[in-house]
Amino acid sequence: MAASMIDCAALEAVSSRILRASGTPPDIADEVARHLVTADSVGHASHGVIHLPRYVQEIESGLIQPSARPRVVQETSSSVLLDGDWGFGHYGAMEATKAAVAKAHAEGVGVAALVRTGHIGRLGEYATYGAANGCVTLAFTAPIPGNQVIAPGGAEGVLGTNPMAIGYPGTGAYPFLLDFATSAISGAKVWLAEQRGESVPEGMLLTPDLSATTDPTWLARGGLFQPFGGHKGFGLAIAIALLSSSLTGAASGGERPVLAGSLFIAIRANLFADDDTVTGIARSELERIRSSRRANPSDPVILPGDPEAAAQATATAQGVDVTLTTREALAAIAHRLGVDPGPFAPPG
Amino acid sequence: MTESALSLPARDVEALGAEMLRRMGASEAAATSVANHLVLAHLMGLTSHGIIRFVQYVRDIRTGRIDPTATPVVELDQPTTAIIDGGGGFGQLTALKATEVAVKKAGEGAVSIVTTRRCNHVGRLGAYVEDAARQGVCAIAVAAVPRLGHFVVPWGGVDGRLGTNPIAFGFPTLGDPIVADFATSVIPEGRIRAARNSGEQLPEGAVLDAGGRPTRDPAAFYGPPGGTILPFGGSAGHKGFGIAMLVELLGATLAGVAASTDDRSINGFTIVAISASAFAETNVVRSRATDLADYVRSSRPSDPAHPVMVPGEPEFSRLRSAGDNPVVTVDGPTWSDLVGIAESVGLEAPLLS
Repeated sequence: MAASMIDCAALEAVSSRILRASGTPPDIADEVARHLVTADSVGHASHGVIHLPRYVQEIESGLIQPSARPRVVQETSSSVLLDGDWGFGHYGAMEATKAAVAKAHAEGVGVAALVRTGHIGRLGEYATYGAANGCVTLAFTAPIPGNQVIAPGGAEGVLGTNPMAIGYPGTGAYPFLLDFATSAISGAKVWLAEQRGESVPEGMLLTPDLSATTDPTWLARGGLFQPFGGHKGFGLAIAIALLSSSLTGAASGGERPVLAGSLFIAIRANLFADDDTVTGIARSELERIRSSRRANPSDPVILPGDPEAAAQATATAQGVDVTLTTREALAAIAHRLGVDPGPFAPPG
Repeated sequence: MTESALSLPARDVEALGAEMLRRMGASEAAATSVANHLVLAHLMGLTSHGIIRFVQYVRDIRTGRIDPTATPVVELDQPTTAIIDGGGGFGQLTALKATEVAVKKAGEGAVSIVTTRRCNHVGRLGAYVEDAARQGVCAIAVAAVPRLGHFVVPWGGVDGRLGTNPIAFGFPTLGDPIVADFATSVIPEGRIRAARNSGEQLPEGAVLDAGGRPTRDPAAFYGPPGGTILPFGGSAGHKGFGIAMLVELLGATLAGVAASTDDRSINGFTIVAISASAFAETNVVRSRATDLADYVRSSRPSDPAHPVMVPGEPEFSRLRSAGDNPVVTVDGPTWSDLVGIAESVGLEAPLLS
């Protein structure tokens, strides 16, 4: 294993230890650690352990209430509104997803709204969970600060990077997973590029005066994003803000910026046809799409979810790459909190 | 627009279209509903889903693809879900019924999903989520397309494997709903048709010819051999492709329909509805959405002559500007097709003004 590659199980264990030592109950610590390391292992390092040092700071500053668990504000047989009480978004969102899925199994469709949490991490996690439990699952979130994406023809940031994710069950070895930001790039990816000392790809980032840039350090200096796909992506971005914030009530002001909140919709896959029919059709349609002649013979046609599945296979065998900055930060935190540093122990 | 484009009173064209459909066997109510839908779409600026479709629908009735007498039937009626069997009738009627049922169920229970079978071309997808939103219900709608409409390539592929697969979101406000409605291809097929008719070039980055090379010539799309359309998103076209797949999965696969082998459903229409009152009072939610729309609109524009608008606003503005005596602009070839069809059912088209 290369020096910067870390075994997933060891990374998850030390991450959980760090969170527990910061005052997080064991089950919540385990869930957050699992979420972060899974993000790293499916090729979404931008939503992985890179965030752990910041979470420790936010626990210490009181921005995250580590032992908060989402509580039901109102509930029907097919819907629930959960208040996260400023606990870990990853834990709250998984609880919300589980609730939506349970309601979908009972009623056909379930919808769960989650308010008053910080970032909920990689949206694909929730879509994957739902799909693994027999539900077409849609997840939407309006992450704070929510002010970096310009409208087409606009000159200032008015929306967040507002991702959505969809998981579709039963599609076989490569589960269908669509997970994307509606901005040209997610803020977390820009931050990751900065940590890795890389540039941002062309056409993604703008300076505050709307000049194109590939310099990730602009993110912290008022840098802006276009929506992806012009007015279509912008339409999606607004729809996601409306569903995640206006519908849920996260947009009702208070001590946090206006736009935040998350929404999860689970649809039982065997609603209109039996499971075998639905999954059979899904698999054959996906195969047919994969079989298209390629524009570039050496590039396969890649379906949503394929990159995640491929990355997962590699990570299981080879571990995941963690940036030097993150490794050093976590080593220092582990030392300060007096926990076993595991893979971050100094060599020798 | 070429010199052969015409401006005509919308009411006259609507009346002509409705009468054509009636003479082809549609009921008064069905003909009126479909004609109104098409002309409204045209006035809103979606000419690819407007008057051009009268011609197509009459031809489809003649080939038996559309049964002008069929009415939608509710099947599998559950508290949160239903299937609407369109019976091969006009797609607008099927989609309207599906929306009505979804809205009712969402109102009763918070969330619903309704799908369709044997549903023909539904027209402007945004009409249905707009309808739901005006009734205080948030909606997501998709229209999957069977193999005969698979013009869109997968990301990285050169063979058509998907339809232009539109998706639409509608959300209530205190005023006009916010309606995002778009094809997941760079452009819909109807726009290529309209460009061919009006002699215009296509935008860059939209279409590939039969050899998989970029082209701006509408004729190259039709061939034969025909070309294909790219998924939207430019260099991020993998996102548009993913959403196109989502449309098929929700619109067809979930309904138990294999889009690549089943030609009976021209549009796999599915609508997901969430009542605005699910988590708070409807007016509170409308108000929050209005605040969001106002906030976005308040953005400084990069060109002061073009203020920022929210989705749906350009369409509603055009409709308002059309005024009490709206006029539709129809390109020459479409008008001449329409006149030909009208004559074939014994109607004289309105005289040119």
